[in-house]
Amino acid sequence: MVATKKHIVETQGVEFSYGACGGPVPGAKALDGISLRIEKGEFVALVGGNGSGKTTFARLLNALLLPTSGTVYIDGIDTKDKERLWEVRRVAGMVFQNPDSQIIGTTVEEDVAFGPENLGLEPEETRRRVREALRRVGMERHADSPPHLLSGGRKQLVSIAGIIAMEPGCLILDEATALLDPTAREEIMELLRRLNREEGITVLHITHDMEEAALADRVIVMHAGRVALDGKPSEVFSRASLLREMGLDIPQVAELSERLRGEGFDLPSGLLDTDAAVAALERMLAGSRHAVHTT
Amino acid sequence: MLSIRLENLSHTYQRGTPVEKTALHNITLLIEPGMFLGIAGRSGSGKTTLLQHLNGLLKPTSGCITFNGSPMDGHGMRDLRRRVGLVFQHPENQLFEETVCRDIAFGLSGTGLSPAEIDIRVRGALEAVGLGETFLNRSPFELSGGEKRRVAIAGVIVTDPSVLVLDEPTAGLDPRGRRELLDHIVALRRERGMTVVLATHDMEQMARHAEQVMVLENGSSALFGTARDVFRDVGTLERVGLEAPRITILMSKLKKVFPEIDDGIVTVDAAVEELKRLHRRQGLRWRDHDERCARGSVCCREFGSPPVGPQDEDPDGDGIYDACISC
Repeated sequence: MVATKKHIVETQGVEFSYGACGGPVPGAKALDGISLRIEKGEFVALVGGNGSGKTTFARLLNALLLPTSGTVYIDGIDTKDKERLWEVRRVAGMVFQNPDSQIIGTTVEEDVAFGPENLGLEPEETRRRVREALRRVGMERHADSPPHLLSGGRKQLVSIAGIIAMEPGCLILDEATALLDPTAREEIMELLRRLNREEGITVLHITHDMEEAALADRVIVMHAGRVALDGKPSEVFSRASLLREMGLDIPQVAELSERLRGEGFDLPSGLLDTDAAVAALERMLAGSRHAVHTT
Repeated sequence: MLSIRLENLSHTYQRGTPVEKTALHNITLLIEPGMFLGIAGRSGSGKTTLLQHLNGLLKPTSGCITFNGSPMDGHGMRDLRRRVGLVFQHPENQLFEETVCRDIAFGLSGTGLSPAEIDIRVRGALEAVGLGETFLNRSPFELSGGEKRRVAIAGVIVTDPSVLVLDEPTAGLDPRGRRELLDHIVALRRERGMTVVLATHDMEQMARHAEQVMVLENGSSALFGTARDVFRDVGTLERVGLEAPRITILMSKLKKVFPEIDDGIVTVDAAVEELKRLHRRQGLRWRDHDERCARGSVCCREFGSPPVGPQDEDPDGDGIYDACISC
């Protein structure tokens, strides 16, 4: 296989072990043969239980870790290529779970400028990018605020601004919404969808929230260091019992329609969207009502 | 048994300074023994401040809080903290001992319990959070995130509190971890008759377990009532930045077409039952071709759809209405 630039992420037979001293289970394979491709412009959710290998996988994508065997290509670049390490990290921008551990500037503007400054850009270009990034995440009014006083959700917006100021090809979010309240989560999800649709940025969103995963174009489920399922949300979430075995949930709407189908109700499979489910239930119930009048 | 009463309780941080901030405003609330109370609200709405009053970590700047009718000063603070166990956000950060056993036992130091009694209590607490004895001699630092959190919670329940207060106990856990942790808390409450006060952003969790829910908005109580009543108020929830469980939203949309749907559905289980009931009813035929009900009344003709009410069910299961509500 030859890595093509059409795929922003491509992994071939990737394995990873933390070695004798690191990781939850010393010596065990955290990743066990991951081969997948993510095309430019995709919006992918990566789900899996604790210890399934999600975070390890994310860290391989921007060369924080290197595979024990196999190869990771980011925009066609082998992450083992030390010469191009910074290119890999620029293309694959990473946002972590805890906003407090990734803020370094004394003002929002300074924090966002950290990345582009380190790319060696002209100061004027850095300023332009910072302004632009803050505008895109809706935080331009807070440019002079001290970031540590912002709410958790806003801190995450600042973190994302810091990444997009580096003009990445792919945004990797490692449970970046896990500690946020529902409104803040929704704001982040809206921003991600906008960046994805309007600017074509590839998004890889690692999450425990199945409602969020249902909003992606594609859901990858990891279990015990392998890819267990990979497909459209409607396909993946129709495998309810398998997902439960792996310690995962399915979105409530999917669970409802799956259980009603189990009761013999005439509903389409793969329902995820609330309005679509309401329409399907309405049709089904109106059908039975119709039967009343014809008897 | 301990009942906690909050009356017009307010709390202002840094009072009298330029940065003073009122985090709680006139909260009145009775926490009765055995209750499962949920506290919901956005980040910064005052949930943590409220919880920290419940074991005397914070004192109200106005209003009052009483424990079994007496103000906090009547009880020793030490005694109160044993009776009200508070599990902080990210409690795993508080683990410090060399072994799980010693970490859990820390809360019992100075109680005068014999080593044998302490041993029994520690094992009981560990079991209550679903961890086996094999954990006793492990280092808390080599455990997974979910296991660490359970050990930290065991360190609070080992003192056998009457009231267990949990601040976002499942934040950051995976779905199985969340479910299991909550199941253990529910079982503890059942077995020991413990009162549980749970602050969370997870509305589905709240809907499944809490009997009463208080929704905070900027330090004030925006909604208070049973989970059914609170989640039915989708508008207020949205205003305060929360979202009713997806299933509640779905059922309230469906109710616009089928008004007979119960409007307090907050769990998938309840929705499945309700839709099965509705479907069964929709599919029922009238006993007579002229759409008379079994009692022979013509009133049934008036209904374009099957009538609503307890009598229109189909007790003999023959798919035929026996009577409508008007008869």
